[in-house]
Amino acid sequence: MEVILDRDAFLKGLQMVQNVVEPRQTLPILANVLLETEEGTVRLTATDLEVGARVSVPARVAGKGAITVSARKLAEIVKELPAAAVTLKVGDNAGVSLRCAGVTYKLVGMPPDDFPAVVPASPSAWLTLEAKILRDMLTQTSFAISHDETRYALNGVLFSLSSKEMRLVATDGHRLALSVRTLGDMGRPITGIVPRKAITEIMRVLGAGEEVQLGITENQFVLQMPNFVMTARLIEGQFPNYEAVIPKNHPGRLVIARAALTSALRRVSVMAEERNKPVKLTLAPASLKLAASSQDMGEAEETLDIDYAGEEVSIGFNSRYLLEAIAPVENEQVVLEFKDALSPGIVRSASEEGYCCVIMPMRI
Amino acid sequence: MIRAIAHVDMDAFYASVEQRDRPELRGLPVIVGADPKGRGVVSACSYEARVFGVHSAMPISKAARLCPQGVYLPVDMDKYVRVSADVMAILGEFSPLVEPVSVDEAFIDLTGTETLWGPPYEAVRAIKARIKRETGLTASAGLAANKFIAKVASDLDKPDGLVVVEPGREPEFLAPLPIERLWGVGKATAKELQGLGVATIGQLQRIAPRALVARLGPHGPDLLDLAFGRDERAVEPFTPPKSMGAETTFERDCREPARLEETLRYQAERVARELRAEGLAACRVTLKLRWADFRTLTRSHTGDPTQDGLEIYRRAAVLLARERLVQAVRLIGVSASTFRPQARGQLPLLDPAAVRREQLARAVDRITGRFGRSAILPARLLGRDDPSE
Repeated sequence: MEVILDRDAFLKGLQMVQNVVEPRQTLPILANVLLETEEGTVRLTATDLEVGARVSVPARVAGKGAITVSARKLAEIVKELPAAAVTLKVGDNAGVSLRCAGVTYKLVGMPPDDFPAVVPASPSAWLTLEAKILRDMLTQTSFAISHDETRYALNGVLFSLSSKEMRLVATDGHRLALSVRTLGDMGRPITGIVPRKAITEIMRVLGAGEEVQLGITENQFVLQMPNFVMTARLIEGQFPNYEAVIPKNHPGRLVIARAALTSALRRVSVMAEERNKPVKLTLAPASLKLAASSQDMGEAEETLDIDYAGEEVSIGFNSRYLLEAIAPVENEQVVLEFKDALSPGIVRSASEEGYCCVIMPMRI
Repeated sequence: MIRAIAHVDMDAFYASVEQRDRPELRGLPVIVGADPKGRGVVSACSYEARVFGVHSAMPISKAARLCPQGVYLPVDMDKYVRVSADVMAILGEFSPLVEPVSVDEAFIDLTGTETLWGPPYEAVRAIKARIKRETGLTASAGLAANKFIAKVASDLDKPDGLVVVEPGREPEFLAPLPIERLWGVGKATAKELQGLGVATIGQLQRIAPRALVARLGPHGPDLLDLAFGRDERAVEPFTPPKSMGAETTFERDCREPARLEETLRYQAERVARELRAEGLAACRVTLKLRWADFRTLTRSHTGDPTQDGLEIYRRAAVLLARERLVQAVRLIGVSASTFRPQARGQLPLLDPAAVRREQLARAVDRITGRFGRSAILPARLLGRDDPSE
């Protein structure tokens, strides 16, 4: 095998797949990236057996073949190379030589035969959408993914595709984020929980302006972009009935400037107890008081003028949850809906329908 | 200031309580613990049983071999706890500084009580006499200037003993004793020390501190302090527990996941009950497994603070499900630690029943407090023997 690639294109390709490689893996070959020649391209593939990514990089193929080499080392090398043509050639015993301008590297490779195949499934239907929409929807949900390993089904984002819309949902058992968009027809409804690692990688590789296609089968999520495909094994398990969790008809409703609320939360939470950063919100006619205290440090309090005429109510929240829920709202006004100190509050955008975050209070 | 600290240790406590309540057992080898046909351990044994070589923590099957004529009784913990409370109450009358170490032993700080009870020696004699009069049981005591020496002393003249170590004479008191008497000296350290030619505490006293550090690391100087009888620790009337747990040794090694889960379920309820009784919630849940070959593993998970039996069980069951049952399980246990005060912090979103379960648990606690533990149970455990009791 012998190929000549452009350094910049090679690096970009490597960066799209290399994060899939787990730093610690069970099989040595999983530390490697698979390089395979095709007509006018080299295909780079990485996998951790759960998530797989493959990208095609334009190349002049002087000799066909395939090889695997350490993904980390290869990316490290290509990153340092000057912007010039890179010649990669496989010699005896899976030895790989790499030349660029005056530099030569010799790498110890491994034969491609043992590399686990990354096989994208063929979903019954593909959903085509703008990359930006998918990125926005993931921004509106991914922060709520659970890190609790004992709640496996929550360690990802639920994709729920139906004839009229796509819904993404994530929850960690304390809060739940939902993002909804009306998109093309998917035919029969289908759902799947996509693991956190795949979500992180998708958000990293999604460019602007591109179109992406996604599909879900019984056990796999597939994302396609021009020259790129990612597969992820779906998380097995029952995602909670999220619709039951979203309260309807909360009596209290407050519209407030996003920037004012965000900065007040940041200021007050400086004095909040470290672990959960609890902040107490007290709503009274025309005012919202934010208060935090910690036994060792002291306390903070701030009052905002607001347009509110309902009953007085006090609710404690983890301030980080509130800030993370507000962050994806693009409108300048956010809406808070609430009932009492023990019922979940809701954060929405004042204009867009497609997003909400439900947050369970803290007992302070 | 020279302190006066006593360590009071009930003699063969469980067995003595049984002999007290059943006069026909007096003079007989009484062994309290697991079923002698089973695989648990000896919890306590009377002095008559010790003649046969039986001692506590010994596998019960071995005790049965050594002493086939013994009277084997199950552990009646509720009864011992009641008697223990009586003993602790007596101690509490002599000083406010009483630190129970376990159900049958306690430290008591008698410093400055001379005007009330006379010299500490007299106070300890009075304590022993009160215990004997009011509970019918004997206790052995050690009196010294610190906890460590008092504890060593109480063990030297059992039963019904009283050993006093005068302040300043700690090194000579300790010198003839084997190094295993020192806290923190287990098999490994003892072996290290024997490598230095040290078998008694007196020999340890003559070792150069540097040689000790070279052999034992930073642990060395602490050991030397103990060897000379130096111990500054105060008698702490109440030490909050660091963890609460339950363990079960199976009668026969167990391979059935369902039975393991059931046992965990029971244990989780028990741990949760204890947490609620203390007003605590635990963040960390630890699963313990001992395989048939005695290798032991622990697995932990840290999450939201909980005092809910079902949630503790859920976390432990997930930890269990991750382990491959390569061997049969001899012992299983669950414990809770990293405590927070209850009824604080984050409420759960996905578990709307959690708040109701909390109220339910309190109601159940009141019922079991009045009518006993088996008065009300999770349905899954109905009709089962309590494997964790």
